[in-house]
Amino acid sequence: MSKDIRKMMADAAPKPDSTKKDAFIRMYREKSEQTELSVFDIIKSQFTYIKLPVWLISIAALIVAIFGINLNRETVFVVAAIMPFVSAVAVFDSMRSGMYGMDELEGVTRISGRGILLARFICIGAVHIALLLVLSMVVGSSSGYGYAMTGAIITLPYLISSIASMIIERTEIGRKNAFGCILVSVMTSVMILAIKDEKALFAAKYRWIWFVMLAVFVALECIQIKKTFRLEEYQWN
Amino acid sequence: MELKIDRITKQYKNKIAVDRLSFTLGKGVTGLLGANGAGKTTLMRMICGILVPTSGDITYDGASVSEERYRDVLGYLPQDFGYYPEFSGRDFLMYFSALKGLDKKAARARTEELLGVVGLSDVASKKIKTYSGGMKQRLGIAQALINRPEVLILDEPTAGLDPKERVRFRNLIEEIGKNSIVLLSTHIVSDIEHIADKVIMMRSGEIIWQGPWGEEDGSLEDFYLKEFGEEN
Repeated sequence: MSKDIRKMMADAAPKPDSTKKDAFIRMYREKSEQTELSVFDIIKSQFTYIKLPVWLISIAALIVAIFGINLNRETVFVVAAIMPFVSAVAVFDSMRSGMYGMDELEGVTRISGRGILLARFICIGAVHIALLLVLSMVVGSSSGYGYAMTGAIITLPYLISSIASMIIERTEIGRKNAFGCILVSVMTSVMILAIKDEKALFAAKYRWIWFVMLAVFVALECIQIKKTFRLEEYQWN
Repeated sequence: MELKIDRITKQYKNKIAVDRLSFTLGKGVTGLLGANGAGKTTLMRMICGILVPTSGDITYDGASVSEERYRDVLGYLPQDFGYYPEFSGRDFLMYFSALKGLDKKAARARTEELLGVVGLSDVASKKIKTYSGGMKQRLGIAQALINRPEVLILDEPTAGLDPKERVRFRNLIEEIGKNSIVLLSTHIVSDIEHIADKVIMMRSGEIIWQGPWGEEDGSLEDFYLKEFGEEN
């Protein structure tokens, strides 16, 4: 387009008033069929922002399980010792808004702070449930404990670490650094490795205790998730 | 376009941060003046729906501040805000565009437009941690404008800006105020003296003065110093 034509066009249709642009776009937005954001939209908005270590550590647990398939009993405890880190990293990543001072900004968006937390929990939670099931199948096939008991041994450290991490992350100190989550993971991991040779604990007649504990910790996990969702009020500044 | 604050109170244990405030905001810029600890930030957080008032109501054209419909037209710049360490300036705006419901194409266009408006286009790909305080503040302002807000709440927005940036920012706010409700809190009178259509002065959680302020009313700074003489 020549300069003359461009000038002629510019003269014929002068630049619209910039102050009316926002109002025009808003009006158009209202007229277009803009519906409320669905849960899928909210999940989509967060999925790409979940940090790589969350997925890497889950993959690491899976790799250990696959390569350790011939180690029989040992593999159960190695995988169980990794699980506290899997859950702690997930909790830390889900709740990092507070640590990085993004919670206030995120809270006033269409999705809201709760929506963001929900999306992160759903993304990571769904992947982790699948991971726990796959690990129970892979490791359980040769562990000698059966699938259900293997699942319990792997899932309990995951839940213990997850519950403790959520409690810590809701405190002022926990929000400011990742140290609490790491400490909890290390302690849970050491605990599971410490009891692995106490064969009586895993004997068939005591297995019901593991399943009861599993049910209790699943309930505690739900309580902690609910508590985490209750948005905390800011302290007097 | 009406933001109605009706007898709101916020109490923290035995401390009343905001005490039965009532006012209505329409199109234009409203300056919220008060010394540190006057309750400005608490009031703004309640208007944004981050804090729940102990009593009272806040509505925008009949919609509660807790509704998605309200958050959709709300822009907010808090006094302090952070960022994820891996974010560049562009990532930051793209992230908030997604949270504010813009699709990718619209988000990209709006992000580039706003980076230009706040003069950060050249450094858009750099990590935010390399930005100066003023640059971070400008990024925060851009973030607040992503969804073309009808209600724009700015808590001490000029903190960290140099004099040239302050003037540029004032002009931008004045422009936005022509079609939106802008509430701007500050303790620097010159930030609002020439652009505020209305001024609200707060002390100890209460409004001590509110009304329109024009050039004919004299120096706002003098009036402010007279009212807050003991605290400043």
